[in-house]
Amino acid sequence: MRILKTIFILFISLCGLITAVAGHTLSGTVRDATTGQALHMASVVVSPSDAGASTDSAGMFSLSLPADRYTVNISFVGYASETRTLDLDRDTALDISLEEVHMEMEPAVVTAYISKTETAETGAERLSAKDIGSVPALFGETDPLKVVQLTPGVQATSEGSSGFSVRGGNIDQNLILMDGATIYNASHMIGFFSIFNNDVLEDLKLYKGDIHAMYGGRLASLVDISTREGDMREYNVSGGIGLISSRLLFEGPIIKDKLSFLAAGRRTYLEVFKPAVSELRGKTMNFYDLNLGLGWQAGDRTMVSLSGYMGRDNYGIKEAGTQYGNGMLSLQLNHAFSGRFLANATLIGSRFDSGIEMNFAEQTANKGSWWMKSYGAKADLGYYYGKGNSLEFGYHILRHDIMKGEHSPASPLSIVAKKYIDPTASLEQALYVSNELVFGKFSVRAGLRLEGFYNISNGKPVAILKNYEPAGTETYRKGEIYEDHYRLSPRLGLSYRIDGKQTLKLSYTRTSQFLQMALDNASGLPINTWFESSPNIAPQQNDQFAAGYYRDIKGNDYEFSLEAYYKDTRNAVDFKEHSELTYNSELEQEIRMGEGYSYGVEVMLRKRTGKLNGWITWFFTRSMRKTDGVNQGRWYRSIYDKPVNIALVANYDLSDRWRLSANWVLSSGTPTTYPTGKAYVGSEVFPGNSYIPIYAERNNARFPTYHRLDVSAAFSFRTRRMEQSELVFSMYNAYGRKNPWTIYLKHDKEEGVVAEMYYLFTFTPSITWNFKF
Amino acid sequence: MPHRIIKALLLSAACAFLASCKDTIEIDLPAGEEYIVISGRIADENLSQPIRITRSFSMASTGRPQAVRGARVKVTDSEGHTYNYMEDNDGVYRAAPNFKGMTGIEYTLEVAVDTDGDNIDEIFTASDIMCEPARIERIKFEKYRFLSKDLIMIVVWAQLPENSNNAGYCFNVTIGNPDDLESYSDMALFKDDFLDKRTIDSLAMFYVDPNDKNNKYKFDVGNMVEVKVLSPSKQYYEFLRESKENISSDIPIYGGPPANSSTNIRQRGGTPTPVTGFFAACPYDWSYLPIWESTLE
Repeated sequence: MRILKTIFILFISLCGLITAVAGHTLSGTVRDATTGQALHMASVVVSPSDAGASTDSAGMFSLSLPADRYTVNISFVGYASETRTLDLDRDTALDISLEEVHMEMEPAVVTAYISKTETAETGAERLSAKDIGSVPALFGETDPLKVVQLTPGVQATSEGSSGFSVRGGNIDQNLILMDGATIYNASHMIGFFSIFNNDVLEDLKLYKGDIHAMYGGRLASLVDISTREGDMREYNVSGGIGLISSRLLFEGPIIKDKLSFLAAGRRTYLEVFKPAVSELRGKTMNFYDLNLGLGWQAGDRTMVSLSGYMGRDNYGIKEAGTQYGNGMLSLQLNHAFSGRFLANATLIGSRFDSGIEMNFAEQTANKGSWWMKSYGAKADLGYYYGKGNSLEFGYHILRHDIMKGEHSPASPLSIVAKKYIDPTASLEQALYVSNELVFGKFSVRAGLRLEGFYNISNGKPVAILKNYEPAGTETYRKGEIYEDHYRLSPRLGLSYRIDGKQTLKLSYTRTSQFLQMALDNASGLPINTWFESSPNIAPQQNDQFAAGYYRDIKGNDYEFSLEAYYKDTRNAVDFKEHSELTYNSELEQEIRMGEGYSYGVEVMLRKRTGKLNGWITWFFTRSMRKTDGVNQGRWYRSIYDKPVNIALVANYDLSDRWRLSANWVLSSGTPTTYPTGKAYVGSEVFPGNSYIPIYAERNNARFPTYHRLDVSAAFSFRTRRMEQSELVFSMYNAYGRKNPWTIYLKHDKEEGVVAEMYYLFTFTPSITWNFKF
Repeated sequence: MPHRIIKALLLSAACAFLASCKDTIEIDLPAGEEYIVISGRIADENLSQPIRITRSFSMASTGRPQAVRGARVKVTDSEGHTYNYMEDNDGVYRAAPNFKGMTGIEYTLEVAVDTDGDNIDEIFTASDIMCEPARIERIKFEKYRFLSKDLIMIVVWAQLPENSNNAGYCFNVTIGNPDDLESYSDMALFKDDFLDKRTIDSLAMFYVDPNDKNNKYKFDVGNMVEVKVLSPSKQYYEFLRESKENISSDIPIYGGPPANSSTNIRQRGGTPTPVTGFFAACPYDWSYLPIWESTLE
C-alpha cells in the first residue's frame, strides 16, 4: 500500500511540473441558442493549432494556446456549427450559442460532430437524442440502451432486452451513470425497456475500453448519460402518445436566462386494453417514471443543476405480484475559477428496491424485498494549459448499503419463516489524476486511479470461508472497517494523427470492480441483488489493450474506424453450479472465482451527412471463462461469446416531411448447454420423471443465428398550435424472423426428446405521435 | 421456491403481453461419454430396498437403459449390519424384504462390477444418513380457478418433525402408476429454514389441470392420487433440487446454466469411470385418494 501511495504522489508531482508550461487561455461556454441550455460534449476545434476540447456538463471548455491568430470551430450533433476567428493575445472568453437544426432545414447543414480522428480515446461511441430517436423501436418506445446495442462491440443479452454485454463482459460490468449517479437496474418491464426517457436525454457516451481515470468501479464499460436542463428562455410542452405508453415533458424558465425547470413523465397504460385482451384480465402490468431537473446559471462562471429520477414497475395477478424501481438524485455545481481551471462538485444518491408478494395459499403466503442504496460526493477539477494539454484530477467517495433479502409470512396462518439478511455497508473511494499532453502529431493521455474499498461492520458475525466452505466467523464493532481492498488502475492512451484525416490510437486500461450482481444468467431480473467484495471475495480486475485506426473520408461525410482489443480478467466472479442466489444469507458460499479473457475486432463505417445517413458495423468477438468448480475446472465459452455480429442503421430523408429509417442486425446464436445423454434413476431416488440429463460441458451449443429487420417511417407536420409534430409508424422484426428467446428440451415418448423454441415479437407494428408546443 | 414462482410470474406476464409463441425445432444434440448410473433409496419400512445399476444413453433414445449385470452389491450400516443384494432384473438388485431403514443410522452402499470388460472390478461407494420423518395426515381435492383455467387443488395436512436438523422436505404427487414414466407427477420442495411451523394445515400444495391432454394418467375418475413426503438429508435434498431444475420447465433464459445433478456415488478402485445417480437413506410417508365423479362436479 505504501508503494501505491508513493507512486501516486510522484505521479501528481510530475503532472504539476508539466503544468509549468502555459500560454493564453481560450475558454467559454457553449449553449443552445433557443433555450439557453448548456451543451455537454460540444466540440471546440482550433486551427491551425489542431488543438481541441469538449465542453463539460455545464457547457464549459478551456484551452491554453500560444499567442496567435486562430479560427475556432464549435460544433454539436444536431446543431449548425459556428466558426469564429480571433487574435489570441490575452486570456479570452467566448460565449457561443448554436442553432438547432430541424428536419426541414437542408440536411447538408447538419455537419457538426466530433470525429473519432479528433478524440484521444479508443472504443468510445457518442449518441445524441436525435441519433437515438431516429432508430426504429419496439412498440415505438425509443430506448437509448437499445441503440447502444447497435454500436460495435455491444451485444443484446436476449431478444428484446435492453441489457447488454460490452466486449464479452457481463451485464453487471457496465457502469451506467445518469448525471453522475449510478443506476443499478436500468430496466423496465423485466428488461424489455430501459428506464431512460429519450425526451430528457441530452447526450449518451459509451466507453468500451479506454475509460478516463475519472471513472471506475466496473470492468467492461461506462455508459455516461446526461439529461437536459430546462429551457432557460421559453416554456415548452412536448411528448408523445404511443401504443403502450405516453410521455409528457414540461420545461421553461423560472427566471429567464437564470433558472429553469424540467419535468418529464412516462406511463404505460396496458390496463386500458384489459377489457379487450383476455390475457391481460386480472393482471397488473405497468411502469412509470418521472424526471425532474433544475438548472441555475448562478453567474458567468457558475452553473448549478439538480437532476432527479424516480420510476417503478408493477406486475401482478390476484395471487402474486412484484414491484421494483429506481430513484436517483444528483446535484452538480460547475464553476470556472479562471479560463484555465474548471471545477465540478457533485452530490449523488441512488437507490434500487424490489419486492414480491405471493398469496397462492394462505399457508404459504409470503412477501420478500431487497434494496440497495448509494450516496456520496465527487469533486472533479480540470486545469487546461499549453496547446491542447490538460490536467484533470479529483476525488470520489460513495457509501453503499445493501439489504440482500428479507422474507416474511404474509398471513397469520402462513408457515413461512421470517428471514432477514442484515444490511451490509461498504465505502468506496477513489483518487485520480489524468494528464493529456499534445506533442505535434502525438497526444498522450496518462491517468492513474487509486481505488479503496472498505467493508463496514454491521455488528453481526462475518463468515470466513476457506475454499468456499465455512471456516469460522469474526465479529467486529458496528461501524468498524474490517476489510479493505486497494487497487491501482493505470490508464494510458496514445494517439498519432497521421494527417488531418487519419489517426492511429493505442490504449491500455485497467479497471477494478467491487460491487457485482448475484446473477447466474444473461438476462437479469429485479430479484437479483448486488453484493460487495469482502474478505472472501477479491475485487475483480481487468486489463484491456486496444488499438485503432480512424479515418475521415470525403471530408467529414464518412467516418471509418477499425479497432482490436484483448481483455484479461482476474478474480472473475461466477457462481457454483446449481447456485441459490435468492434469500441466501450465505450467498458468498455460492460464489466461485475464476479468470477470463476476450478479444475481438470491430469495424464501423458511418455516414454522417446527406439524405442517406447511418452506419454499418461488423465485429468479431470471443469471450472465455474458467471458474473454480465449474465445468470441471476447464475453460468454457461465456454466455456472451457470440463471435459474428453485424448491425446496419440507415436513415433516409425522403422529403421535408418524410423520413425513413431501418436497422438490421445479425449475430451468432447465444451459447447454451445441451445434454449429451440421460440417466435413468428410476422412481427410487427421483419421484415422477425418472430421467435426468447428463451434461458434458457448459455452453457446448448455440441457439440458431439471430437476425432481425426493423423499419419506420416518420411524417413531420406543423400546425398553428404546434411547433413540431411527428407521426412515427414502425414495424419491429419486419420479416417476422422467429428468433429464439429460449429453448426447452422435453422428454417425448415417440422421439426421445423434442426441442421447443419460444420466440417473441414477430411483425410488431406500432404508431407513435410525438409533439412539441 | 419463491424464486421459481416469481420467475414464472414474470414470464407469464411477459408472455401474456408480448405475444410469445412456441415452435418445435430441430437441434443437433452433442454426443458425450457413457456414465454408469447407480440409484437407490433405503426407506423406513420393510422393503427389499432396490438398487438400480444401468448405463446412460442418448437423449433421443426411446428405449430402456442398458442394465449393468453381474454386480456385487451390499449395504452396511453404522450399527455394523450388512445387507447383501441379489440381482433381480433390468439392472435392479434387491436385499431381503425385511430390510428397514432407521432414523439416525448411516447407510453405505458398495457396488463392485466390471463396467469396461477388463476383468477388473470398479468399486463404487456412497453413504447417506436417514433423517427424521415427516408424516402426511391426509389430503383432499378442491376446485380452483387460476388465470381463466379451472384447476384442482390438492390440499395436504402434514406434520414435520420437531427440533430436527432436516434440510428440507420433498412432497410429490403422482396420478397413475408411480413406476410408469407417463404418470402425472409434480414435486414441491420446502427448505426447512424457510418454514416457521411444524404443522402443515390444509396447504394447497399442487394444482392439477383436469383437462390437460398431455398426460396418459390425468386427473380423471377412477385414477388414484398419491401424495408422498420425503425427508431427505442435505445432500439428497440438493440432488432432488438440482434434478428438478434440470428436468422441469424452468425458464432457461432466467435460470442458471444447466449442470449435472450432484451425486454421492464415488469410485474407489478400478479404471476411472464416469458415474452418476444417487444413493439415499430417506424416510417417507404417503397418503392416497381415488378420484370420484363428485370430485369433478
